This record gives sequence, structure tokens and C-alpha cells, in this order.
Amino acid sequence: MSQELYYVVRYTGPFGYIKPWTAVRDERTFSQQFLTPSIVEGIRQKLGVEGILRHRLSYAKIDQQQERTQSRAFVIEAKRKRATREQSILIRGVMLNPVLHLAFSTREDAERAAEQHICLCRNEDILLPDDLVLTQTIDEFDQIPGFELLFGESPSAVMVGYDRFQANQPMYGTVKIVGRPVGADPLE
Amino acid sequence: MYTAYLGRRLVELLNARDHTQRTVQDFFSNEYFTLFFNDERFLQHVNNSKFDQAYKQKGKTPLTEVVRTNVLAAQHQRIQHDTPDGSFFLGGAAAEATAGTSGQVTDILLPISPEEVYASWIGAALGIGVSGGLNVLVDDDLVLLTLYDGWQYYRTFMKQMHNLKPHQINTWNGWWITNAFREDFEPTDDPFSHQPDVKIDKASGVASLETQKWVGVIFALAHKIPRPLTSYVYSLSQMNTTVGFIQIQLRDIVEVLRELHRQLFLLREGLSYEKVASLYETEMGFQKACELGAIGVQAIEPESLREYMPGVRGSGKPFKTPKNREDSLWITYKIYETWIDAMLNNRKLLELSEKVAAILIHVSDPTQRGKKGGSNLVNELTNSTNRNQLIERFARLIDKIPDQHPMLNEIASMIAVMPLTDIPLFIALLKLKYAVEEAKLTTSTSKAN
Repeated sequence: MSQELYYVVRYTGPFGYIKPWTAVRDERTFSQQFLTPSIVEGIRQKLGVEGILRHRLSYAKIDQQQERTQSRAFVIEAKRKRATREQSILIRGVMLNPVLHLAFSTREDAERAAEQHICLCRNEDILLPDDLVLTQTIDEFDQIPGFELLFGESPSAVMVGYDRFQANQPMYGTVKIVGRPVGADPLE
Repeated sequence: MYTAYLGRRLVELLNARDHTQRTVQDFFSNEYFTLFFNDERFLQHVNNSKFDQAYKQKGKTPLTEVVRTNVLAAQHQRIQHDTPDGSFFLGGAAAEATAGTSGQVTDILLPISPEEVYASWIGAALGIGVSGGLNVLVDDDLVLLTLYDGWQYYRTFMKQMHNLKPHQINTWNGWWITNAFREDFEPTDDPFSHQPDVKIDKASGVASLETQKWVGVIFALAHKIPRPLTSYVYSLSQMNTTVGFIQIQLRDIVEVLRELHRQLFLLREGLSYEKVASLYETEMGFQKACELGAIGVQAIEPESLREYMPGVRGSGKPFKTPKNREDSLWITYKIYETWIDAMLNNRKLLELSEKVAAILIHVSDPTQRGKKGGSNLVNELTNSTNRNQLIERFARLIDKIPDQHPMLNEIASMIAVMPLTDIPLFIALLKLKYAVEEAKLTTSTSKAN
């Protein structure tokens, strides 16, 4: 059979958050809904696999969670002889019950990946794999509901940040949406 | 940031359109500054910028031509020599690492060129303001050029209106795009054939532009660009909001609007496309709609329809029967019906619901209420709150209409496989069709009497 196959692993977890690259001075930030080339490269390095060909991300809903953040640097208060950090409030729109499908080119890669956890952009949000590797044709993978960024420049592409693994070059991609990516699986 | 990217895009587009070689900085100093800041009333507010500081001081130091030119020079100075921060790089980070938001900034050292900083101002002036205090940036040639063409009319309009408050470029963009994308828009004769929406504060006499409904802006975009569009949703202020990249499924939305226009046109002759769009009110605010992940048919849920749908609080209100042909309820009901049809997106189901409504009328027969006892059965049916109840109550109808057995069977099997989220929609649709059928019947019998 000459048809190209994907070896697909499905990851799930309670929370997921991907910070948009433009969020730098925010009081409210929603999660980004797709992976960028640099996120995929980060996951690839973490899993120790050859390559990740495609991804598909869906979730139950966005939940706005308020948290307290701290500044990067200390302020020295000479009089009171102490160093403090400025605090600020951030409302973060977090994905609940994210489901991420990753497509690998070989069964070995997929099996290796199916034994490890991953996280999207916060290392406390752990996603765990189903221990089963799905063998799918490209058409079958394309039916999975969710968001995906198809990497590369095109007239409908948007700039999604700078790639730390590629000398900080701008990254581009086209957002693809299949089926009903949000709230298809009701909570509970 | 993304504003810089779009600002640069606009200058590229203009160079291509006008066969010029302007740099971003040329454009900023010559065109953009002249239009936006070389006047006592500015078109754009850039928090904490040199222009903002001068504007706040205008009581002490009037904003004369000389003052404005000096401010421009000082702003150039900062852009050329200082490390960019949020006070003059729009969408940029706070200046100090001790700021409460500094933890959001990447550790990648990105060289930000003065060109990028200039571009960020131009890009921020392309944000389309919508109700709910958010702005939408759209990376589309037609939209960008249309907004740019609208800038000069904002200045013209401000000159005409002496009490118009400054700084509302994003609100203006929202109005301009809905205006310029109208069917009957002719920029050459009179761009103000439709006046911008302005409200005047009674106490102070200050006029301000009114923010457009978000769905109005989406409808305007859908009318001209019926393809999926990836927009960027944000707001810039003391602190920013980043909703991020949200796809607007304009093709699906324009289909709803066209169908609605077709339906309402039958009801009220001469109703324009824009009028139909203006009648449409949504249940959700823009931020809530963005939580759905994409702006599609689901996001434009009509206002108050939820009150009639079965949900956690019970079976929902019954639909009132419209009084006569002029009753505005007809329009509301058409909006509900069109939206539910688009959500269910199942031709067969819709046809079936029509037939069922007709049967229900037959069973309950509102012209001789209470005589046959059928209306209770129908009430119970339309008050169902879940799949099981619905099927069970359909089954009870069999005694009343034994000859319709095959159809009841068909509908039961369709309900059995319907997605869970469609059940409340389907029940609401049944109730609605029933109310409409009832209205038709009662108005025709009252005429006969």
C-alpha cells in the first residue's frame, strides 16, 4: 500500500494554556487555540522523536481564571531593608479538558510518545497519552475535530510569533478549523 | 507586536496601489501625523505618549502648530533612540522589569527597529472597535485599504462637528466599515449619505461616536468577504487584553443573513439588507462569543431565544401568538427560525418539523379548545425538556392520529440519533412553528367570522 499513514497519539488533561506571543502587558489573556512551529519543536525535543507532522487541538470550554502575578525583577526598598516584587492581577482564559492529537511519521516515534506526558505552555498543565497508537490515513486524521495551524506563509496566513529554534525568525501559519472544536464533549 | 505587522502591511499595500516607494517612517511623518495629530483634536489616543502628555497639558500650553511640531520631534527622538516600551510601541511591554506584567515578556531578545515602532502606531489605527470594548484587526487587503480611505473622512467629519470629542479612531473604523461596505455606498458623491451614529451628552454638550454592535461589523465584513477570516482581537489601554486569533466564519454567517433577508423581504417589502442586519440582536457579548473559539453561526445566537428553549431551569417560556400581520413578533420569530435552521443544518429535519407542527395544530385544534382534549397532549409535548420525554410524548399522540404512525416513527428515530446539543434547539423550533401555525389559524378564522 503506497498511501501515507500517520501514527497518531491522543493526549488529554484537565487544563491547557498557550500564551499568545502578543500578550505582554495584559490584565486579561485568552489561551491560543493552536500550536506554533516553535511549540511543536519544543514538544518534539521533549519526546525525543524524529518529527511531529500534524496536530489537532480541541477543548470543552474557555474558563476565565484570575490569578496574581509577580514582576520579573525585585524592587529594593532601602528604608525598610527588603526587596519586594510588584504584583499584578491577570485573568487567564484557560482551556478546560483539552484534547490534543499528534501525528507521527513512524510507529516507533508514536510508541515512544505514547509513554510520555507533555504540556502545552505551562508545565503544571500535564496532558497524558492514551496508551494506544492509532494508525490513520491523512483523510482520517483530517476528520478529527479541532484547531490546527498549517505552518508556512500564504495569503490567508497570520504571523504567530518568533521561532526561538530558528534564529528568532517570524512564524506564519493558517488557522484550520474542523467540525466543532469547542464544547462538542459536554462537561461532567 | 501584531499592530506593527499590520501597519507595515498597510504601507506596502499603499505603495503598490499608488506606485510609490514610501518608507514606514515617511508615511508616519508626512501623512499619518498630519491627519491624526496635526490639529487641536487628535484622532487617536496613545496612552502616555508625547502626544498624550501634550494633550493633557493643553489647558496650560495650547496645542498650537508650533507645539505640535515640537511634540512630533520629541516623539521621533524617543522612537529613534530609546528602547521601545508600551508608551510609544503600541502593544509593547511595560518599560521596567519591575512592572507587575513583566513576567509576561519573552526571554527572546527581539531587536525592535524604529520602523517597527512607527508601524505599530499605524497598525493600531486600523483596529475596528466593536461593542464590548474590544478591537478587531483584520489582515485583508480590502479591509485595510477601506479603513485607510475612511481616515480622511473622520478628520472631515470632526472639522464639521465642533463638539465632537477626539481620540475615537477605533470607534470610527467600526462605523466606517459598516458604512463603506453598504450596498448603496458611493464614496465619490457623498460618503456621509448615511450619518455616523453620534450621541450628545446633555450636561456637557460633548458629542461622541457610538460604538457599533459587534454583529453589525461582522455582517458588514461577511457581506463583502464571504470566506473564513482570521482576525486578531485585543484592546490596548493602561493594561491590555489579548483575546488572540479568532477565525470569523463569514461564509456561514452571510448565508444566515441572506436567508433571513429573503424571508423578511416576503414579510415586509422593501426591507434592505442593511436594515435586516440592523434588526439583528445577539445574546452574547463579543468576548463571550470569542470564548466559542470561532465566530460562526453559534456565536450569533439571537437575543432572548434562550428564554424559550428548554434548559436547566425547565421547559422555557411559550411563544406568544402574534396579534396581526404588522406585529413585530413576526420578525423576531423569523430571526429565531432562521438561526435555528442554520444551527440544525438538516433539511430533512426541518421539513419534518413543519409537518409535525401542522399535525399538532390538528390534534389540539385551537379553534375548538378543550373539546377534544388534544391541546393538553400538545402542551406537554412542547414542554419536554429532554430526549426521552420528547420521544415518549410523541408516542402518546398515536391514539389521536393513528394514520400518522409512519411519520411519528420517523421523527422518533431522528430524535434518537440527534446530537444532545441539538435537542433544545429542535424543541424550541417545534414550539415556534406551532405558535406560528396557531397564529395563522386564529387570524384566518377570525377573518372568516
